[in-house]
Amino acid sequence: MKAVYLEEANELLDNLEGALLQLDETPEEKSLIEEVFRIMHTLKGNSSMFGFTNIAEFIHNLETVYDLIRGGKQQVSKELIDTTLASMDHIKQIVDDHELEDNSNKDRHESLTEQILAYTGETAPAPASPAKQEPSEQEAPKSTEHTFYIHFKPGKSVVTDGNNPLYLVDELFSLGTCKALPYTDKVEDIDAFNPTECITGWSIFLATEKDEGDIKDVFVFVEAGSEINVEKISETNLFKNKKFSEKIEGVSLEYLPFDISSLEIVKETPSSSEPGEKPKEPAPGISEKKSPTRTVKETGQTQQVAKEKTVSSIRVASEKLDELMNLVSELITTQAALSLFADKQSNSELESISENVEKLSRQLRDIAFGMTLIPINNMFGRFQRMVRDISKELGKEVAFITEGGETELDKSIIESLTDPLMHILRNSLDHGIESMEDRQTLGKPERGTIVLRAYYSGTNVNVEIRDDGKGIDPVVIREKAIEKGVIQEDAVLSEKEIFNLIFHAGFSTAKVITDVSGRGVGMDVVRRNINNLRGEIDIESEVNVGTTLTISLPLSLSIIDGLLVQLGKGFFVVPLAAIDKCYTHADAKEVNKFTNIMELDNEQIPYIDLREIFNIADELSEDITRQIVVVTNGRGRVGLICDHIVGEYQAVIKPLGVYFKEQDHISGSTILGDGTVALVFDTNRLVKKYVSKQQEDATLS
Amino acid sequence: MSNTLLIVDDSESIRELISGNLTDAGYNVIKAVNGQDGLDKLNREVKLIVTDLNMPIMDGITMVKNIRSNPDYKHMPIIMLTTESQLEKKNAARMAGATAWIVKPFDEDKLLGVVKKFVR
Repeated sequence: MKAVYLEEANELLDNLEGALLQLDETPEEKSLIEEVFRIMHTLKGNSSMFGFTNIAEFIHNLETVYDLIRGGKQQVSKELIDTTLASMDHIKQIVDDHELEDNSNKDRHESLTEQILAYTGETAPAPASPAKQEPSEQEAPKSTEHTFYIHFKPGKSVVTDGNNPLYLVDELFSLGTCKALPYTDKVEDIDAFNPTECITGWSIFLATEKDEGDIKDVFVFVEAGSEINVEKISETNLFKNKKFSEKIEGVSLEYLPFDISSLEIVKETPSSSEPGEKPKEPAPGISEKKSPTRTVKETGQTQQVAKEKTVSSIRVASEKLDELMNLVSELITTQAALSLFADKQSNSELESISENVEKLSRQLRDIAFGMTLIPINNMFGRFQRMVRDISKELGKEVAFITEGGETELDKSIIESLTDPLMHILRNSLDHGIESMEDRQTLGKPERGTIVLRAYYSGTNVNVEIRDDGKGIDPVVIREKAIEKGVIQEDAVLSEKEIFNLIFHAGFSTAKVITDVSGRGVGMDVVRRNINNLRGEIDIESEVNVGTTLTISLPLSLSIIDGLLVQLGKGFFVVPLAAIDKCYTHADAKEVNKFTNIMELDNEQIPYIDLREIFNIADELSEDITRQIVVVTNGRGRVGLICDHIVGEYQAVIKPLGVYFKEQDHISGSTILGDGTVALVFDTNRLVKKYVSKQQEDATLS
Repeated sequence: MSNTLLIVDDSESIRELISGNLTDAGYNVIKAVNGQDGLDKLNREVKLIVTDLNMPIMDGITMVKNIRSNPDYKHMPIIMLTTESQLEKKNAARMAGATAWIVKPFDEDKLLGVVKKFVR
């Protein structure tokens, strides 16, 4: 249970952080204040439920502040948000140490509490000590029994509110020795009887160790509308007094035993008009009305029949998902073998079964896949906070805008993407965005902007970080690179190549190294991390306009829909998502053999002859018409010429292993139904490598 | 006879804690994550509702008002969970039609004590 609390607490803290950051932007937004308050409230409730008393108290103070804001008695200020955010961090720290055993936690706890209380106008209480939590439990034990007289006349509507007064009387019986005398004078004739109205009440004598408060607690839910009187009539247990017992036994019939008038409750006493009732038996008024009430409920069938809806989401351990994905991969490989076997058998029954299996496994794959994808938003939230903190530290004003948070990526990719992105953002904040004065002189808005955007592009998801800072000066980079011995003095490099130098190990151009973006060990690591994910990082920059870094990542790592093509004797898979259209070679008109440009559908596009690239010398049989698969790479279309298109194929991608780590064209391999290995093209890299800029320019212009 | 209870709380940990306690005590428990969900899941089998006050989408008070406006569920005992023992909250809950309330933090005994006042 505690694990659930912790997980949920972290989630709540994240949400709270998000809401606070939004509140920082729009401090007047009422709904945000409500949201902040609501989350705090939940968190406080949970913490107290699970025994995290210190946390609960701590949040209670915060909540008080936001309650004041809610009521317009306090203003949202930057400082307050800072304090609140710091408090969130503090809570995250102390969930593991909620007794505040660590002194640094304890000190922080106290200083933050003080800061928070300053907003509420209260002074800090004595340091939270465990003793504070249990004053109520240390009541002096009372061993002696007292006798109480209780007059209880429930309101008429007590039953319709969902209460059952009999249960309350029963509860009194559980407190000690008890005698209950029902009032039956108001009980009406059965014909005039209204089962939903309570018309009875009780005179109760109770000898118990409990005090008056405990007795009143029994009636706490019915106190509105009911007549309840609790009076202590003796400091001792009167039931031990035989005389008393006899007396009240007698009273139930005609009158009250005791000189109750001396207790000023005479007016409440019943004038029992129906003698013969045994006091301990439940009043007839109640027992009769219980069953009719139920009957009414059961016969009124016209109202809504509640539909059983399932929970909208459940938590699943990520290992289970991984396991599921593995099994699905195996299933698909097996299914491919089945399809192949079925094809060979020319048994129509088997073929239809195999087709069904294929269809189902495809659906299963899509669903299993969808489960491993999570929106990138989860990660964006964390950055909001970081950008805010760092820009503050650096004395810069930065608007951080995120777009495309709904874009989904494999959770493992998202996890490994956090660090590189964080580093890039730090760099943008530190080196990219100029100081406020500099921006002013340049005529730029004082407030810098950083945009983090995610979007789909073919088989990839692109994550783009764009700032409107000072940009990267290729001249400076070049000088620096020469100075550091990264390039030769006479090296001829394109602008792009120069930019790419910043990914070189040990390269840093910041004049002063700040503790924000580290010591220049970053960008090479960033690139390595992204390459490990089979991703690419691209940089574009213009001096004084800004820098854009684009990280391009494969949508998924394990199973893709592909098109199986044949080259010589070998098989290859082209990811279906990258494919635009297929043609036969006869459709194309070669425009320029030297630059590899052809005309398809009245459009000139570059082409790659896969036979040439992969050095496939197998003989091409005369009767084969070669085919062209046109892929898009985000910038334009490129034709891939292959021998023969076999058909659609679900490829379970297996890595090629360390020996082939450095190759560029293939993203992995897959096993066909008959055990043959097919290689899976990485079309983006293929195009990047073999289609030159000139070709693109020639066709795009 | 059915002893089904409906637990409405947006906080998973609390929901699970309460349901766990009540299931252990032999009750049959239906869980809902907010007021709207609670209304959707309410059915004739339910003999008592335990609900949180503050929830997104639909809060506890709105849900109780909705339930009370349905003659079928007029007599349904409804227990509200509140964090403050403040009187105003209790009154708001009572005005809306809540039968009882429990102040957080509470322990299993307290919860069962109150629930047993209404359903056995």
